[in-house]
Amino acid sequence: MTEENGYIVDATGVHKTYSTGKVTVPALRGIDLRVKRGEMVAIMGPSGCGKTTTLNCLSGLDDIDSGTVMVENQVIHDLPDDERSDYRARRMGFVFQLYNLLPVLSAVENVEMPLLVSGISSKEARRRSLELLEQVGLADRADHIPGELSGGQRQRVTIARALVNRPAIVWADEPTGDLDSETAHEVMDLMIQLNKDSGETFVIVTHSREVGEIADRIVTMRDGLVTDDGLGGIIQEPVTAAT
Amino acid sequence: MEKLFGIPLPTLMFVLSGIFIATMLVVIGMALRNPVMLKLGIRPISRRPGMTALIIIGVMLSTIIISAAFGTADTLSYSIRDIGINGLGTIDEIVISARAQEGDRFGQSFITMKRYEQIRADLVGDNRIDGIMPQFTQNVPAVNPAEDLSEGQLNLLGIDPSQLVGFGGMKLASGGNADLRNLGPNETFINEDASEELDLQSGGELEIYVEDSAERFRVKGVLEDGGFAGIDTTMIVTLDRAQQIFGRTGQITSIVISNRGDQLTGNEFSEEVTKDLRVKFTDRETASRLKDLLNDEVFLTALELERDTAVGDDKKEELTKLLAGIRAPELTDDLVASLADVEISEDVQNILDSDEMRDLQREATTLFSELAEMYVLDIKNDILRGAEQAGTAISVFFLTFSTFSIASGILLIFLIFVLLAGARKSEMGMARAVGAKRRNLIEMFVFEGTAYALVSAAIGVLLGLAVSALMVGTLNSIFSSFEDDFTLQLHFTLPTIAVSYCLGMIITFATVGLSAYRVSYLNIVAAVRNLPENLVPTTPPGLLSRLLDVVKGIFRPALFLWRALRFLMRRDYVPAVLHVVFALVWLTIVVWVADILIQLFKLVWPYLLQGWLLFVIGAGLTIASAVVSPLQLASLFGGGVSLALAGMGLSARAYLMKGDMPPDLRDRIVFTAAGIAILVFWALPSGVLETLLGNIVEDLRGDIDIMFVSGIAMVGAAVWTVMYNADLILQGLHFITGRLRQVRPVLVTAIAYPLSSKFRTGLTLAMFALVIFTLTVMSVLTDTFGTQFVEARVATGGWDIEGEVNFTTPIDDIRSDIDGIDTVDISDFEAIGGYTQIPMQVREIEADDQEWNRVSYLAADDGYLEASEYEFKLVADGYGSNTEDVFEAMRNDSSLVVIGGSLLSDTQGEQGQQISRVFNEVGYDDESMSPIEIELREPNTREVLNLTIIGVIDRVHDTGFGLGMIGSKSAIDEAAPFPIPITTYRFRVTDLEESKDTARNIERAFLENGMQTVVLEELIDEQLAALRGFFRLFTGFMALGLFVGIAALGVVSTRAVVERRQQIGMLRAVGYRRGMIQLSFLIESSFVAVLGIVIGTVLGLVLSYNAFLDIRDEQGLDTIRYAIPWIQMVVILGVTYFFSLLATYIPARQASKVYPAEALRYE
Repeated sequence: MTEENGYIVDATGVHKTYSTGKVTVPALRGIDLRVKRGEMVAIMGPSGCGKTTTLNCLSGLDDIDSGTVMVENQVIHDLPDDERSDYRARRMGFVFQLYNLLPVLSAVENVEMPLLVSGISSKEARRRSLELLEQVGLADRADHIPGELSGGQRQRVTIARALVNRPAIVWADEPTGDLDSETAHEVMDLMIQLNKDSGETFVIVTHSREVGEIADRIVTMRDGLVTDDGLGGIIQEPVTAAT
Repeated sequence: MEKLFGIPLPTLMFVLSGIFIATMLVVIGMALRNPVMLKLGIRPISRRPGMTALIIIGVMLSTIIISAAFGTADTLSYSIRDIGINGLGTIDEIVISARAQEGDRFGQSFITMKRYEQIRADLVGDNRIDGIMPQFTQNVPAVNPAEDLSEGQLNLLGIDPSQLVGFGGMKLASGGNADLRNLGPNETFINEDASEELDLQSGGELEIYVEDSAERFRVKGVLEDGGFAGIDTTMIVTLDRAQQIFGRTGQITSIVISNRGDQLTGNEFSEEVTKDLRVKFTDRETASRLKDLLNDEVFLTALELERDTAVGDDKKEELTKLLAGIRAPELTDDLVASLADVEISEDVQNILDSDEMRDLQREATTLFSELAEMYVLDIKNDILRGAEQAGTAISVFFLTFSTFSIASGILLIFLIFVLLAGARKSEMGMARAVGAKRRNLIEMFVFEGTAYALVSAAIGVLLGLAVSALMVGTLNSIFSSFEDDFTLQLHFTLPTIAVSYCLGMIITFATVGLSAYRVSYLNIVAAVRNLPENLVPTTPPGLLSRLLDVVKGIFRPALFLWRALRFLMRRDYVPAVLHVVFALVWLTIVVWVADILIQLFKLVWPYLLQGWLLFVIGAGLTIASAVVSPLQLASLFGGGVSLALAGMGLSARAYLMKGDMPPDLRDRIVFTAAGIAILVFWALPSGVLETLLGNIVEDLRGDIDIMFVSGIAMVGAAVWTVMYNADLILQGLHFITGRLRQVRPVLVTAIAYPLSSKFRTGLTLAMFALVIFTLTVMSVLTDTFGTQFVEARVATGGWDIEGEVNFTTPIDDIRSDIDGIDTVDISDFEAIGGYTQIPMQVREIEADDQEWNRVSYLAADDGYLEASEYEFKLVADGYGSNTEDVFEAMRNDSSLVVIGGSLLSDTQGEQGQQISRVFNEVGYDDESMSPIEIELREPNTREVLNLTIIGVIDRVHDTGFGLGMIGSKSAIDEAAPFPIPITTYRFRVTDLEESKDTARNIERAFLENGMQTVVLEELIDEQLAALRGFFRLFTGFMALGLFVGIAALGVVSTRAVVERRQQIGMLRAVGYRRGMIQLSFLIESSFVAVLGIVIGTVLGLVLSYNAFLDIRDEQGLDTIRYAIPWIQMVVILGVTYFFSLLATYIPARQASKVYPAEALRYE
């Protein structure tokens, strides 16, 4: 799919407010963000600035209050829930800080899950999953359940799962947050390699300066706004401190 | 209901309440000592009301079942009691003549008025007695001429109105008292039942028939049922008039006595009054001679044996009293009263009936016949005792059959708490990490569990009573089909409610304690990091430590007291008191024994796991059941074999663990082999086992216990096998759903989850399978038994209508009478036969066991012997080969008789004796028989006839209470001191379609003889319908257990939604639609439910088929066929499945609504 303006993700004026009954928290206060195809973008900022919310809203995991989010020219938040699910299954991959693997399935079964959801045959799904595990260096751990793998290995499985359906974009939320620095390096190297080799788009939410430096561009957030889009200047300035 | 499992209910109530209060005191003590854990424990209750509600539902199911069983038993007991007490009113004892005299009639002896006056004069000063009434009673045929309605067995009662004072008078149904003093000779009072039956009111006319004459009465009023008015159709006239009607002036049939007090409190004196009356009517010198005679070591030893093997506490108590009386140096009143008790005298004479006591017996028989002048019937006490026994029997019956349901309920409680523990694993791990002790974790759970138990037991009791109300309603509709007057009245007593509550509460509390104990052994690291427990293996305590625990268990109360003392010395009063309470709780013995058993179990647990000890125990049980006579139980044998096989499996596993076989493969091979071996063993028909093992199996005795043991063993083995091979099922499902690509990913998660927690899934699966197993066995056996009721005409020996006449108004010659009647014609009948059934005693002359047994003797006329179409199972050598030959021989020789097949043992030997069959010389499944010489004795006159059995009738004809013995009436006529009339007629009609009309016409034609007819086919249908109705109700009761399985699925699913919140979020992120999440949960439950249903059904069908083969072959029921009630089964299974899905639907829906971003945000 080709984008009219060259951006795979094009978000404009996205607002998101959380309400816990008594307290209302404006998490996103009208952010604008664009990501080019094949780009590796790191979203950084202090805790509570809205990084994860941005990822969730842009990937369609969460609804938005106002604004527009277009992914591959599709207005993602207008899609009905089932269609949005199908879209995620076919075109998106996810990597989370806590891996979020299914503990009852083996590594290969975890990896093939998005393929099965997309209707790929079991045989083909298994072949591609093993291939991906090979790529992330875990071919020999394919039949192990997550409980039998180390943190780094689990994150590799997660990355394999995110890439197995050859998505248009991979969303990663603190992918190295739960790893020691050496393993974190390994995982980041793997992501860079996959970004370079297969031209996958990565949007990575991270606290880590090192991860940010590896990315093509760093988007900085503060108080629910994008304060620096990494393209050469401050684009939004928070007026007051967010609660 | 006054007793349960032999323990008086008030005692049980006090003991259970005591345990309950002690438990609560301990909990309160723990709470005072550690309020933080109390807060932590009960905090989740109010925080998650939905989950709390679900837990309470799950926890209360056992209590519902217990309470429903008790409630039904209470109602039944009360209703029988109520009917008995209301029926008797203030009547407490009845005195009848003990000696046959000249002028007596068949089945009835008389007392002279002179003797009555003496007795009355004797008793009048006794302040325990407030009423004595002479009465004359006889059944007569009666007609309401205006309406042409008849009643064949109207009880005509003559009483002396002047003696009614102590009995509290008589009440009119319309209100007010009835005045019997001015009752004219042709006036009568009738009771409500007679009024309804004959449609007669005050002022109406009633005609009765006595011998050849008719008497007409005007109804003066309708009396309330009960007391003298009775509960069956009754008319009351003055005593003189009754004596005059029957030509018995100066004679009465019985003396009725009322004790001081009302209809219930009067019973308090019953035992005493009965004893004194028995003493009064007994010849002391004869009693003294009898005492000396019976004081014989051989007899006393036999009596002791009889007492020890007697069924029921009352019987044991009576025989103990008798033993003490005989052994006492002087003749006591207790012994005199005992010997004058009809039942006791029969027991004594039966014990004496052996070769080594023959002389003793002869003398005793003479002395017993001279002993009592009158029999005193302790009638109210007997009814109350009967009611109590019925109540106890029904509660034990329901509780026994709902054992699986209750056990499943307990498993559910266990499961709930294991799940709750799982949910708080990391919280508990943190608590342990910062210094909380195991004890604190147990306390935390105990606080929470106690709160649930207190509430759920209360709700459970109430719902259980509601269930029993439902059951009572159903029972009433069943009873109403054949017994109009019997209605159960809902009634619950405080002791049963208290016992239900305490039992429910204690069971829950104990299970919570056990689960808390298990949970407390969590690995801190695994808990904090939320890792699977098996990744962090724990070291089990060593042998020494386990041995020390056993010793501690033995001295636990002393240890508690010692600690209490130490706290006291430190002036730490709360824990000191608490430890004293602990010591007291342990001293209730039950807790102490349980504690020691648990410690012993923990001591041997590692060896049980290694398998060899389990094998040794199993093999030991198997050998014991094959060798030791009292232990020759099929259940013990089967249980032993199952344990031995499981032990072999575990031993093989322990051996293979030393090698390098992958654990998964090793466990699969070992557990599958052991599981299949156990299944094959139980699935083998007993015939095959008999061929393989010969005498060992043949000698085994089987009862209902076999169903429990086989159920647990088979279901356990099946679940074991399935859980270790479920991945094959998964592969199969993948293959089947290969084309349904949308379903496949759902299937992967839906089956992976239950398989990943084998314990939880196995437990739920076992609950389902056990209950379904029991239901299947019950349903199939009910239907299978139903098939033995063959076509009515075959079952009844070719007869269509049965008519009974009053024995005071017999028919001289029914055939010639029919000739003279317009409404019926002799051509309406193919055959007519008649007979009278007489209770007799019988023994085989040649048998080793020379005991007199009761038998019903059917004294038949030639018409009956000529036309009965009974098939013979056995015909004695020399008497032909078919029905015609046998009956012809009997018509020609009145000393020849035949017997119904039910009187014979199925197999020779122990089993026959055990089920109290009468004859042992020939077995029902024998190929041939020789004529059997027997003695037949009339129990009152002790007149003995020598007869010969020449045939055995096929059991297909033994419906109802069985045929008993059939012989020629002329044999009895020759021996009886008075003429015996025919009371029952059988008719074979020419037009079966018209049998109902013909029956009505016969009734009308012989109105004056009190003819009451019944179409036999309808009777059999009614009996069958009632039987089926009862079994259905019972099946319904057992189905309560299904709610346990369904609730388990609901609990597991609800818990799973919480546990897997993040994973659900991830699945949604990778593209699972809402529907797929929901479907995944539903399939997960379906997987467990369907597997449980399939395992339970298949095993139930296998076991019921084996049971069917056993019943057919061993009891010789050739007509029985294996019948599966498919529709009923499909409905039960379908409804179970539907509710399982429904229970999962709500959590599944919740899961599908989990928002991915939100779910992923939290750990």
